[in-house]
Amino acid sequence: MKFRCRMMDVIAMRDFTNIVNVISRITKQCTLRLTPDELCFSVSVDRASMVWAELTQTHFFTEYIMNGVSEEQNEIYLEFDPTMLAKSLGSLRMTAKSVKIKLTNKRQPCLTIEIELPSLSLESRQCLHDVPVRVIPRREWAEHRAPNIPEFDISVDMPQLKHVKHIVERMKNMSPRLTLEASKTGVFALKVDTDSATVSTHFQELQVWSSSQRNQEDKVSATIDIKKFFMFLAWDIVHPDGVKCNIVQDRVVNLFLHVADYVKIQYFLPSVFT
Amino acid sequence: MYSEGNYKLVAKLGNLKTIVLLLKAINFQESATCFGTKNGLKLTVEDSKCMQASAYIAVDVFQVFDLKEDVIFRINLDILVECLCMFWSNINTHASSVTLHLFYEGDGHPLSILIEEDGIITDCSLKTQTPDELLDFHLEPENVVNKVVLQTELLKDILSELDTTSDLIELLLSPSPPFFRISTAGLAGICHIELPHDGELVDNFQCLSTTTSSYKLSHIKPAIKALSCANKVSLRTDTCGLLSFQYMVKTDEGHVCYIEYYISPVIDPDEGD
Repeated sequence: MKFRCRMMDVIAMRDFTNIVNVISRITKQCTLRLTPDELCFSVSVDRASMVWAELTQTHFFTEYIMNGVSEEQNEIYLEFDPTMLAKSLGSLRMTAKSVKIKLTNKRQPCLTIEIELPSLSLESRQCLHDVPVRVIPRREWAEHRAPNIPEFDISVDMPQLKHVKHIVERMKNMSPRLTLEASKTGVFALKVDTDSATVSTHFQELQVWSSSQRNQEDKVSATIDIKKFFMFLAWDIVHPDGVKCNIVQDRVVNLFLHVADYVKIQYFLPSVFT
Repeated sequence: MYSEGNYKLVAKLGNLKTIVLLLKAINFQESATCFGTKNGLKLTVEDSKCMQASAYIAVDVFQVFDLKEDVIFRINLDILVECLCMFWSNINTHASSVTLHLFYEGDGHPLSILIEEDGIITDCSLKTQTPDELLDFHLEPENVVNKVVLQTELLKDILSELDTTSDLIELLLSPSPPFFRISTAGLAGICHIELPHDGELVDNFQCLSTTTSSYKLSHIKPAIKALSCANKVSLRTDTCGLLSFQYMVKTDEGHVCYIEYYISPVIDPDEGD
């Protein structure tokens, strides 16, 4: 088993740091799946997948060497605390020249992060972090596979996350639950219901990608945990090129976000009973 | 849908910045009682039957104000303020495009508020309640003992730096020195702050006799909040020690709105022994 990679591009380093940062705010334990083409962060809650973020390695890394467990199963699964990785990558935000990430076996398996920082003298400084990881054995891989994407009742573009964020930030203070609603006409709505008021925000003229509805007026909705939805909005920091909201009536909300073709993020929010 | 004539009150507001500041300044309790009259809209908030704050939005501030008969109802002000704050980043800019429409059909109906910004519409349907009786705080002109009109700048710094460990705040107004004094007694000791009674920052200082009254600091705090959005404040006390703050708030278009606070004094049990 071998993994070593190197990042040199400033923008790639910034994006990578941002992604790890957002994940670290969601969870204390995440899985990183390494394949020859992709890095994939995944977060599960109660064995159900919540976040699935795929990063194309060629975009981020100038050098990427990995050998999996065997030739047939050329993958590596690691489990670790993303807050530690986020803290280690913290110094990337300054003017780091490059960073190397490799899987090492010190006292225990670690992701070793070597950051090369510029200094006033000719010699550059080096900053080294070890993030302890657990190598997930093959028999547990099945639990960490890519989630099944259900068939959606509706798939619609989300409005700009920045706008949604301002609104959900306030709705969060009113109720712990939020209802997302979309219709074939391209209307997307956020709703909260409290004892003293009903508040809903409507966005119009959004692209509808698919819909199982017969009538234009039929609406598909699901009620979800507002705090988890708000956490998703933090992905705004990666400047997505598109965000889709997919709803299965009263069952699940799936949010899909992509940056060009090198970052793809799936987010699953199960519906809660009201 | 809203063009039908069933509504007792239909109103529209354009520039919301001042309105939001006004509502925030009185939002120290969850519910507010709203009065719609031909003069405009008044929202009143009360706390423990000993303080009251009202915001007056005059009829000329509204772009549309269509009132069939006087209305009175109680709503959840927290939610209204939250809804307005969703658009705060836009409201707070010049030439903001956020508008607010308000519809009220009458007793038993919700108050419908539509806030719109570039095609994004927030529909806030506030359930209305029949209000409890409000306290009738007012200062009869003949009972007014002291009256001070000053620039808010003067009070802003002083009131925001009051010793928060003090339960009470004492206000002394007098026609002779020390004229105008605010005192607190906290863990760190007693603190007297003497304010000028003349000069640039004081517009008017009328004191008939020396009065000292104590107020709960927690009651004064909401009134401090309003200082930041107003230019001028008028302080008045009457023979019973009832304290009133009146703020004049100018909107960007030059209309004038008011915020008023009434705070009852803390009666000293030792007094009159």
